[in-house]
Amino acid sequence: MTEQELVLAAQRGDDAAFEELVRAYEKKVYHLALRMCLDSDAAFEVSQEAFLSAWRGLKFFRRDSSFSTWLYRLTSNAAIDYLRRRKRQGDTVSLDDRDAVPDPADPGPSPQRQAENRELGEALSRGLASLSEDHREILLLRELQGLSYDEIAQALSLDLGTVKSRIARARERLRKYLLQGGNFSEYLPSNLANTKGREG
Amino acid sequence: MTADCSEYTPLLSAAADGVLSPEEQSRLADHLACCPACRERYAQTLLIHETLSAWEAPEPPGDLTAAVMARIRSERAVRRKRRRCAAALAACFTLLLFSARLLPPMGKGSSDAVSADTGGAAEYNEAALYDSAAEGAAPSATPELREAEPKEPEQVLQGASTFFNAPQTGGGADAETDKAAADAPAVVTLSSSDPELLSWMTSNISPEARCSQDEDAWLITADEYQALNAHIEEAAIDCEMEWGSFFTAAAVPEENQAIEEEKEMICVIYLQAGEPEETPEEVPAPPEPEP
Repeated sequence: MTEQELVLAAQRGDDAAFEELVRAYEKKVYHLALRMCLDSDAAFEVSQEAFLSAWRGLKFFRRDSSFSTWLYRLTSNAAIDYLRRRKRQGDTVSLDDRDAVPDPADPGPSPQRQAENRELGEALSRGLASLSEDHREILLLRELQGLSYDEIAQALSLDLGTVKSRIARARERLRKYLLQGGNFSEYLPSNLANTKGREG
Repeated sequence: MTADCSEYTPLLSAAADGVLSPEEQSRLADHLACCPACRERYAQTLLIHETLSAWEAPEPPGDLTAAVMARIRSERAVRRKRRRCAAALAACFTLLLFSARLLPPMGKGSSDAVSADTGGAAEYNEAALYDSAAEGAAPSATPELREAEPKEPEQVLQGASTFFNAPQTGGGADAETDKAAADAPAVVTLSSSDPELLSWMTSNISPEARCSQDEDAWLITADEYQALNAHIEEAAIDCEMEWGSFFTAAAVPEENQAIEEEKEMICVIYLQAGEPEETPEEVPAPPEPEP
């Protein structure tokens, strides 16, 4: 069955179809929740909440957006609710208290590049955690989930201009965070060489 | 990098995503050609984008799908149980209404007859229901209730609520029925065209509180009601709120709201999304007896 058929079947009460959707998205939803909450137990809980919200709200899903976009929005909402609840309880996660967030995968082929990417990945994890909820949310939707600007606008009920400027501001803050930590100096030249083609 | 360079920040980010228009692309290219600082900024932005988008999703710690499906099954079981309870309550209430209609009009004559003849089984039992609800069984309660003018259907319903709500004090019929009305589950009907209201209900109100899959109606607690109210205020949701009583299906005065909001209560909420022109659905109160 295609995703659309699965959604339709789930809307008619077919639990097996919904289960298939959950299995298809569990990793992505968990990843988004983990990067938002910075805690694996909380992310597991938030992911369940997101899927349950989807199940409860299936009858309201109009299919004018994609199921994934809708699901990521529910995940993001559940994560923000969790973070606010935690903040109200006076419990915050410090930047050094994120053992649960795994190091990003190392896609680079050479050991040197792998080491560079690992360092950058760790710095990016810290940088993301330092961003505001709004900036972290929008950047994760763009980078981790690969949503287009239009899809993000739909998911977050923002206009396209706001999406563009918020992503730009989030990246700029992240860039400054890395710059202040001296995280660019070591490997940027080699990466610069690789990105020349994108310029202009 | 100069102060003017900040205006290129959105373009640098959009360029990393490859979503620049041809005009923006050529503007940025012109600037990058003469600004080494922005060239470096672009390279850094692009590096952030490429690194983040290459991150692979980790495996959840445990079987997330199984955990979700277990919770769904559990929620469904609770919903079924709730629906059975609601159906049983509705059936009891209908039965009580039916019994009330079989009784003769509660005028002075019948009151005297009952006082004289305690063998009037149906009337006695009905009186006993009201009496047993009053702590200390204040002897004056039943006669006073019976001395009232023949009841309109709505008044009969209010009287019936004493059976369910067991008022803890005796006293006059009016005081008793007023208290019963105050104790009865309130009905609040929310009409709004803002879909946010519906989506908030779905996400925040405990799903087992939903009356059925097909109705935008929830049985909610006082805490949930307060959270709903806070959200309506915070999100400036435009909605109309009308209060009623589960037992009378009629609007109740404003002052009763305070009483209802203070105590543990159950509300039935109806929401409308996107179709403000439609009349709100009727509250699922039991049918009123025909005159």
